[in-house]
Amino acid sequence: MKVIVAGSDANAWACALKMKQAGHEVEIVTGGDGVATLLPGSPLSPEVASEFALGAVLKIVGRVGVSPQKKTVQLKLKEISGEVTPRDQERWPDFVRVMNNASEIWRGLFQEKLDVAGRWREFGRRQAMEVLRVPCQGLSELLDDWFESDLLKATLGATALRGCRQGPFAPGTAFLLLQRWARGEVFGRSKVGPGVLASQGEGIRIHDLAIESYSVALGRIESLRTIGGPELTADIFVSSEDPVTTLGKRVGLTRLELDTAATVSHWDARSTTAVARVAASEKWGGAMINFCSTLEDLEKAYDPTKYGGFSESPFAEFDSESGLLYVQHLGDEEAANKVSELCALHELGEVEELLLPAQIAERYNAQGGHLFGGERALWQSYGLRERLRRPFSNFYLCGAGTGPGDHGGASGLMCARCVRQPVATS
Amino acid sequence: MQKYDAVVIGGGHNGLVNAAYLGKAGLKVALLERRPVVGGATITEEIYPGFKYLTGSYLISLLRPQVIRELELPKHGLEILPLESTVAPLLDGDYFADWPDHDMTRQEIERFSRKDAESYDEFNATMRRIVFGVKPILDMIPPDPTSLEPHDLAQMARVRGTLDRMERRDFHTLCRLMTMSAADFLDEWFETAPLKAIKSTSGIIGTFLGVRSAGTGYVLLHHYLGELNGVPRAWGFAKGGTGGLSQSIARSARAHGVEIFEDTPVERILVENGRAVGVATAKGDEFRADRVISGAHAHPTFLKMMDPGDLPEEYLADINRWRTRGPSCKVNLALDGLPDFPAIPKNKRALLRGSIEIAPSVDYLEKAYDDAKYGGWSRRPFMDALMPSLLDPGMAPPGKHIMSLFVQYADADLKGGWTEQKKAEFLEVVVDTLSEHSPDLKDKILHKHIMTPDDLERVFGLTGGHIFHGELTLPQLFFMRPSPQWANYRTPIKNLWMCGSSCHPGGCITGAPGRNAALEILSEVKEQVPV
Amino acid sequence: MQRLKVTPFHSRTSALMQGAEWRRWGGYQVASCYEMVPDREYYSVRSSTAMFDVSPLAKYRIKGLEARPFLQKLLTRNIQSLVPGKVIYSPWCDSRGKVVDDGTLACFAEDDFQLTAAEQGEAWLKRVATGFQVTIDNISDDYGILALQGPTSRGLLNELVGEGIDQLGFSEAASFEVEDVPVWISRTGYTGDLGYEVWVKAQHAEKLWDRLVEIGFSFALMPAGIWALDVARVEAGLIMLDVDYLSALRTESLAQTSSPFELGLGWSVHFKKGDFVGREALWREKEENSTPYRFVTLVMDDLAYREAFQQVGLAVDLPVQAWRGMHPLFDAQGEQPGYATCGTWSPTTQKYIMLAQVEPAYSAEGSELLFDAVVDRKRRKFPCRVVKTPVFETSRKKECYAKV
Repeated sequence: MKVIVAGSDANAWACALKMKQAGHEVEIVTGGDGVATLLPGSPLSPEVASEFALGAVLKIVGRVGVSPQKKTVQLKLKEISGEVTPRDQERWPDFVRVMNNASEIWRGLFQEKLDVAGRWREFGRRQAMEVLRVPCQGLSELLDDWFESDLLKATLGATALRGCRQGPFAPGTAFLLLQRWARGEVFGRSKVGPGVLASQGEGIRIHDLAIESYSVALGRIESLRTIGGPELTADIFVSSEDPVTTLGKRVGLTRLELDTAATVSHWDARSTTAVARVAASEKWGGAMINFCSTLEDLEKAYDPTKYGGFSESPFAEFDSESGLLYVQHLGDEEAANKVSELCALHELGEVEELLLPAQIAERYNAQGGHLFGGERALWQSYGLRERLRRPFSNFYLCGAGTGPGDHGGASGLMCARCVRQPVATS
Repeated sequence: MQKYDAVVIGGGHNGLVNAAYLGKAGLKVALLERRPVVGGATITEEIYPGFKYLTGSYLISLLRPQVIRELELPKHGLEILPLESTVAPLLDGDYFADWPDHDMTRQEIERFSRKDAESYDEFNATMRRIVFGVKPILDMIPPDPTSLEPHDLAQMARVRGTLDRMERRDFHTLCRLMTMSAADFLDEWFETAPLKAIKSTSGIIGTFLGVRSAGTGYVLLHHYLGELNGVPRAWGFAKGGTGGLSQSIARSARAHGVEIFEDTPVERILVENGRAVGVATAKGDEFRADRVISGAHAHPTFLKMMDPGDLPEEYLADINRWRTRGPSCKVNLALDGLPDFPAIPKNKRALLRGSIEIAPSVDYLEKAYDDAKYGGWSRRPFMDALMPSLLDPGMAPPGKHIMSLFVQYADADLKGGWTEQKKAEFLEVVVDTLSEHSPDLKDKILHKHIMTPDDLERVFGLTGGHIFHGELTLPQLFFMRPSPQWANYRTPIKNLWMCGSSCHPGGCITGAPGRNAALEILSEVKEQVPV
Repeated sequence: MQRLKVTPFHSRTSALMQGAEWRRWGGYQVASCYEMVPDREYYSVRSSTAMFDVSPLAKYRIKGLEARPFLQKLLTRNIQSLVPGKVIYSPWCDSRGKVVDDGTLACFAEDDFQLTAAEQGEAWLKRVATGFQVTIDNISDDYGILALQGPTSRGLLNELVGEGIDQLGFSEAASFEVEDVPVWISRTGYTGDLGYEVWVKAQHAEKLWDRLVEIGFSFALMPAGIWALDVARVEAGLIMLDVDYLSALRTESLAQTSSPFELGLGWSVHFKKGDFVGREALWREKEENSTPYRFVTLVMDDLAYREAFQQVGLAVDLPVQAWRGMHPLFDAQGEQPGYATCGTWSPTTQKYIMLAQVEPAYSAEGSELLFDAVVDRKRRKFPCRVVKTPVFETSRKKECYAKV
């Protein structure tokens, strides 16, 4: 069959490459830069790495939490140091074990062959239940159970909450930590550049065009209309753009099946995460940095957003290698000042560019300016997002809005696996 | 010294239910209650002469019909009067109301939005279907999901079976409801602000979370699991207050031979060779029994009445990290006449007989939570108010009234602690807030009384003042409640059982933990009379 | 004190109420029957003109650039040919292909339509309308509607609005005036007979009623309640929400929902027109031939029924009012391949008729089933036969009266 994949991130490419391997004729319409370009530190999924023989895609850089008083805590898989109590250091390896086990189960849900329930039972009764607790708990619940050092807890909390619109007190927020842990993002960073999959794309025709819309008739996509380019037809269409942009904007709510339209209308892709570009820094040896202080302060930063307001003292994550600063719960008026204050406090230098959610939305065609295509909360995860996998008999979503919720390619692989011959509907 | 077949610690409603079932099955049961009167938090107390205060719970819905029938509670005096309506006075002088009649409620919603009037029907139909799918789980003994024992596998299959019967889209709605916040869930259905507000309060009752906190969707569902006279979700008021209910269970228990000892605090659970063999009271008496069942909160049970060293480390860790920090207060006012609520139209005064919610908007409720969650209290609290004397005249002297107020939020771990001064201060906050909606209220107050989380703990043994014995959030539900592998009412100590809200299905007046535990106990007893 | 809503004709209808037989419909109070016995009200439908207050019908004005595409998505039926002045009937379904409600759609202009339904359903309409450039106004409370049904109705309306009424063909509609009061009249109805529905703004309702009563005498006009309408509609084989089917939005289980194919509405499902809500599910149902029930009219052997009463010394108790409920139907082996939803004695056809839904194997004309009825405290089974729907037909319903 002829397959057109819209998108330029790892999910689009993983899907395209896999479909090419399966013998289909594949073309890619890039649609310009997607929001994944704001996440250069995000590693590719290990499954994708092994599927396409990419070797090591993750490098361990460690994580550092820095308080406003310049106290620090250093996190590595094997140990923690800095502003942490001996008791916390003692408990760290057990915590790591639970998180690693939980990660294995979470990743397993998106892999084809793993007997997830069986593997879960193999952990043993106690450990299995500890693993089950993780996604259900709030961040503060989980972290207060394990640790007593404020900065340590805040650092893990801030790590989890990057790019998310929740506070650490709410149940289910530990799930956010689990997701990053499972991807290796807590201690690691991407080792390869974003184009690594594209380099395997021989035989795939690339249209470097912007996407305008899809035309629909009788439950099928008929064509993809590009801006300033031809109208493209195919047997199967795949998109790695977020669900609301794809289905709400490019297809149109009126053309959707009602249940799909409802899911799209309720899709939570509001973002309060701003991205600032500052100079890359060697100061922390390439580690990922969180500027935060206590869990309570993370919650306090989140509170005003519930009423349409913004944080008085936002917290942030700094990818020191790329110089990108992710600042939580920032709004319009005070944003630039707050970021400058933060950069001045931590000696990050000048702010070269500041993108608020609205600007991210516009530049990268990302609904709400959301970095992951939609909030990765329990109520929009796993089976609840797979409803959007195939909105039409010949149309699939393969981006961060489906699958595990990242740009690491796993969703693209899952998509390729489930593409089927379209069913006749007339 | 007498030997019993079973000793039940705590005369809360679940302890009473448990004792009654065991007694009915022919066991010789002693029930020991710390306070002068059984009931636990299901109690009516005449704190101010002539006025019957509801110092704990105040309404009934989740009481299992099997409990009502099998313990013959109506015969022993239980009378439940239906709670007919809900009204919320709004801050702009308007009001929002919900009637027991479909067309009446539609008219009320149509005042704000016609679309919502129909969405309400659809919402109710959806909730009914979901509840229908989930309800059987209330009466199930939680299995061990890690176990491959046939018994556990069969029970897991049964749980799956009941969920599989649901239509796929309803199952998705259930998954989202269990993980979302009540406010977000309701936002998807309705546009009418006051409707969303009063519906979302069901998601925060007794729970130290905000209406916008993920997980409150489950609490909302929990409060939909009840029924009265077969009518789903109906709420009612027991004649004589909830004390009327606990007294009827006590009478049923006594009728089945249960010996109830009031004013008998249990000091220690006696453990010999890893087995529970009885209890010792504060007065120095011993009650020896083949089995000991605690209806009390897991904390006093394991951390005060036992030597924690007798418990396995993992179990103790679970009990210690149990989330039981409560945000609830209970206020009672003795009133010299009916207070006026100007927002409620004169021709709808019948609404005063129902629930009066001080919940004018979702933001109001969320702010109430935000004010309290860092160790404080709501500057303008949420209240679920009721004037039981309008339904049941015996609750107050003629012409006078009592007002029962369930109030949130006030942190059990208040910064600086719950001193007498702090208690009086918060009571004033409550009265002031209510007076915003009822200007002549203060003139009518003859007496006022508050139970803060601290009082709920001290008086009812509810650690952290948590009315459900611990949060009803995912990590503390079903097979996790109160500890994984020990959610089937048993404990690591042989012959020591739990039968209160610390177990599945959790809090509210259900009688389910008491009943489920009794059935489990009886299944182990060799000779039993069929229940 | 909270009360039910009243229709714009309430002052007139309440004055006629002899037997306190009110009922609820859509949050309104309407008459089941005015006189002490319902007979004459029913007979007026078939012998002169019955006047029904059907104001509680849900009414929506749908306007906008994308009004037609929206309605095409909403309804199962192709409305391509719906031009100004015409009215059509259609059900609408949810995405499982189960009927949500049914009603009539009238066209005023290319961007201006009017939809009616038995019960309020604004939330559903607005949900389907998401993304369309269309406005949906709920005008339910703004209008009163009188259904004038029966052989003398045309003559009556000639008197009311003039000869122009004769130009109106079946399912057509137009605006008229009654002494300066604008009315909109459609030649539609729920009785399977010659009849019209007259729409008037609420503030002029009483005036219209009075004028009709004034001229109605010579046409034997009779105000009639819903009981009479019910008998007539069962004769006409027309389904009713909450009797013959439940709205897919409010059922407790999937088994309680009905697809259009189960309700004899397969003719109104037009797959070729393009996408509409429920199309995929209905397509599959048709392809797999999986419709569990078919809609039929049954005639019960009333002589056997009469005989059964006679045997116990009683006169036969034929229902003058249509009963409603889910009554099982049995086959000769004692299995239950269907259920009757309503039934009545039909004075016009002199038959005991029922509307039912039966398994396809039993839906052919002439199929025999047994109906369970109680005769003097004992349950008995009576033979029924599937007949053509409707049992009552008259040429006057669709006859063209227009002068060429």
